[in-house]
Amino acid sequence: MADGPVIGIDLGTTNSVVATVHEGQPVLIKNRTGHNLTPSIVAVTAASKRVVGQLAKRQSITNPEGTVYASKRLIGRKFSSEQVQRAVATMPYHVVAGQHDDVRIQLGGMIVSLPEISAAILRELKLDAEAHFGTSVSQAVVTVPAYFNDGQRQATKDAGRIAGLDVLRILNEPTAAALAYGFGKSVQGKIAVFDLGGGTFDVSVMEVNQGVFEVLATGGDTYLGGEDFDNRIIDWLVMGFATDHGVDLRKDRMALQRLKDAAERAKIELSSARETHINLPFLCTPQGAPSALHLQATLSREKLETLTADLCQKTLAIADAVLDDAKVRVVDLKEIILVGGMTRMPRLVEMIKAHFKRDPCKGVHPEEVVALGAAIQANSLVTPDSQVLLLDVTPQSLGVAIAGGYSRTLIPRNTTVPTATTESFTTSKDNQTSVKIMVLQGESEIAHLNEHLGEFVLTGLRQAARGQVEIEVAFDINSEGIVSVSARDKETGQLQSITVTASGGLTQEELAKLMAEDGGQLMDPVGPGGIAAKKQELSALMTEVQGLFAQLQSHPSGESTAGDALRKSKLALDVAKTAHAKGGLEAITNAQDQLLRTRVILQGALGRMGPA
Amino acid sequence: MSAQDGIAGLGSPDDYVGRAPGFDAMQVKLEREELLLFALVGRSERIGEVLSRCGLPEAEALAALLSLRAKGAIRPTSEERAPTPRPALPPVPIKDAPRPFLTPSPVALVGLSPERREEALALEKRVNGGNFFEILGVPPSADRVQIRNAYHQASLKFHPDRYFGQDLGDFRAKVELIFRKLTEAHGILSDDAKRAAYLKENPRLAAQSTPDFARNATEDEKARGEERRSRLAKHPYLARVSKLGELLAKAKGQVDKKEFDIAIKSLVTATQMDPTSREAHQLLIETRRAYELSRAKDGLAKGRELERTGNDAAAITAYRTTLSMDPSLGEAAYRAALLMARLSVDLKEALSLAQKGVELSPKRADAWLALGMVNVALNHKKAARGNFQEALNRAPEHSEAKKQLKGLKWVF
Repeated sequence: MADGPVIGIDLGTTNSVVATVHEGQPVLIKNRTGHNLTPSIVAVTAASKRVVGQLAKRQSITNPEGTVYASKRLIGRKFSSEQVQRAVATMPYHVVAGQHDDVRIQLGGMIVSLPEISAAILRELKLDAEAHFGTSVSQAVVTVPAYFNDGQRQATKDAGRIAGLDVLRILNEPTAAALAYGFGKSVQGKIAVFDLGGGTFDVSVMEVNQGVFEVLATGGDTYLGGEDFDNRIIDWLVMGFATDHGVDLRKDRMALQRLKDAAERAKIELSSARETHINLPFLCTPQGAPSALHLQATLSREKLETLTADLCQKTLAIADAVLDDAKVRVVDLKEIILVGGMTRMPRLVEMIKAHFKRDPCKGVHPEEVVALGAAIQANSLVTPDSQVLLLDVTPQSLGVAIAGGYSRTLIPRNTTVPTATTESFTTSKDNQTSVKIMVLQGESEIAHLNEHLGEFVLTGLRQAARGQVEIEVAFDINSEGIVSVSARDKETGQLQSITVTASGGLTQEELAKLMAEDGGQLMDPVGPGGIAAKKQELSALMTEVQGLFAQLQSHPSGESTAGDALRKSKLALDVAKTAHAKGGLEAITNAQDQLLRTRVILQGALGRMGPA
Repeated sequence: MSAQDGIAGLGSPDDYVGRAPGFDAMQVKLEREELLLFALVGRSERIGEVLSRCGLPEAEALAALLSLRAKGAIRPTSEERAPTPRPALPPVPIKDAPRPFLTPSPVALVGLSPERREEALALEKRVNGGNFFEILGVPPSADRVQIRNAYHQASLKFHPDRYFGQDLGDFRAKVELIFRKLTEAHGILSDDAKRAAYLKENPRLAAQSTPDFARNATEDEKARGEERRSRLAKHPYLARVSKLGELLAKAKGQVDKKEFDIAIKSLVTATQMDPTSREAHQLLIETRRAYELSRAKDGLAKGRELERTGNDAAAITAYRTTLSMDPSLGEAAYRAALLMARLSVDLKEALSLAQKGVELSPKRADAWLALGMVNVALNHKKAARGNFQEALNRAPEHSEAKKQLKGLKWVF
């Protein structure tokens, strides 16, 4: 048997790759269809069959609502967040809210969590690796964008657990790329990794020194990637079509899916060609039209460059900020490594070249290098005295919420992990006997603009004037990246603490249940057992909407300003009650749909009115 | 690692494993397979034997063994396969009195070679009592490169990842603490401001630290700032913004120097470059206004000059243009009116101009005189007399007004 097989997985927005280290050399593992890249697409077909990867991609055009792509853009996010709401508008599949404001997807009559979608992809890759090794594989390093926050990392880890993988480490993509670039070479000095992938953008500045890879700074935008370039092309096509035929293609999910496909293909072709033709015959048949409409357009490289000029500029601005954070000058850089399929765009390469005053490194394959780096890291973890050591950093600042709704940073971003720090706080009110410690991640000074990782309460403080009682708050990030926070009353020595393991959107019970089940059953068609589950979901949703309804009704201006919403909600609740009592899959699904919409309306109304 | 080396961190199937002393199975959650294997392992057992007896697929059994190992439940019972030691850090004299530290635990340490263990203990001592330079094992005069190299070398020995999944007993906590302290020391000593602050608190160290360290640092900082600015200037958007700023500043300077026409030119360029810039638009409007006012003043002076040289017709034109540029210049109005009255041309216009002149500068006797003269020319004698009277009220010694009033009286 070879070294206990450990694998590295690049779980990408559009494509995923798996690799391992074989006889000291990192190698890619081809999937069972013989390709290096596996599309990160999961679908449930009309026959309720689950397909992943190439097969899922192939059927996506005829099954837009049952095909989930770019799920990485949603994982670990809050449903109410602006990014998710924006994505919901462009995704052909149905995105719904989970119980904890997490994102779920309605797929083939089931509501599926994002970690489950990612788990389906990971499981596929695990099977590919097992086919390659001929033995079972259980340990992996999975990469995420460097700028992913804690919630997104936890959700990815959950996905690995659901897929039956022991995730040794969540690794940052640009770091992995640098690792693969520097592995086995005698590289010394500072390098920058410019990683523009399908959905995310990352820049990392690193220093390589005698096998130590130290991350100096990292930054990025988790909502900037190839998809956004595609969307610009889609917008352009939709606008053109609307002027020619007066038809809005965005309303037609199937047409949108074809446009998406064509836009991506056109973009890729324009990396090598100067001009490309987009032909989509029989794209749509508007009502009352005698025949179907076709879309024909010619897109030149220059046009694409003007459509996306601001996106390219944005990447350079972020890169500059990261260089500043790292306190590194352009002239100090030894190498620029380009990662991600988007960095094939000639204009972008030119801009990078002009900006950094050097040719970017050509020695790495932009789509494969991340998985190779993940495999190297996985191997170095399980090999005693390995050749490489990674000193990684926290991508975003960690702190606590303080009085007045502000945030106080305890561990600034780009701090090498593991790390620990303590800081003293006092009470903010007279006779305050308890303090709430809210753990935040992000760069904003305003507490609520940061990611909320968790909270706990320290009670039993001495009654005293404000500022008299001192509380010591300690933060600790271990080498696994797990954050633990404790607060201590300096006088009594009383201690409270939490380990932030929170919410990839799944509760611990849910996760335990998913792991207990055979993974393959997760997205099976709705059977008799499924109805019970759906009923449960429906009743949970009913309770929630009922709560919102009551809240709105009791609001002083509720009846006057949102009377219509109240009446509609009442109706929806009645329908749900009947559906819940009688059963019937369709009725339940319909009721659920209606309630989900109602909830959005009620939340909106409450949000507009503010607190009572 | 060679192929028959088999199981990472455990050894070959011919090696022995045993339960780790002091491991409490009640406190650590073990999976079903793990429990099974843990039961099989006992005090010491050949790995191959365990694998064949457990009845699990080999890969699964191995995974369980590894995870048991990672949880500290089992350990290899032979120590021959210990990793080769690395050269130790050069010893550094400890100046501050060290705090007492724990004696090495008797637990066999799988992942740490004896040399590494001793190093860890020595370093722990420095971590608890020494200064940051001692922790990193560098002299206080060390420059940034030396500090960085020392940190990286020490990381290779004491980063917790080096012992991933290995049972270090109570050395696990030591290693974690050591690495944190190394990072802290490196973080402070490689940041110029923090290093300076630290040296200020520790004057004894500062004496040994190189004085030019800080100087280099500020120069470096400056160079970086400069480079950043030049980089920013090249950014098309920012370049536009900075160009705009430049143009506006230049225009303001030109306004101060009264070079209004040049300023207007720059401002027009600025507004074309960034049509959304409010500042540019506002400045353009103000400058145009100021330019007209200044031109109006010039026009007035020119008119007077023409009048003095007797070119009345040209003077009237000059006054008229002046008024179109600055309608509030009363002097231009009444002077034009006076000339028109003298020449008896365009008397209607002269009247309105004269009235305007009076309105704008009611305190000027000349304005009233002009209105009077126009009225005389129009044969409005009664009105004219009133005007002259007004003029005299303002300037009792006004000879022309007196003369005109007299002339009118004579008619009576």
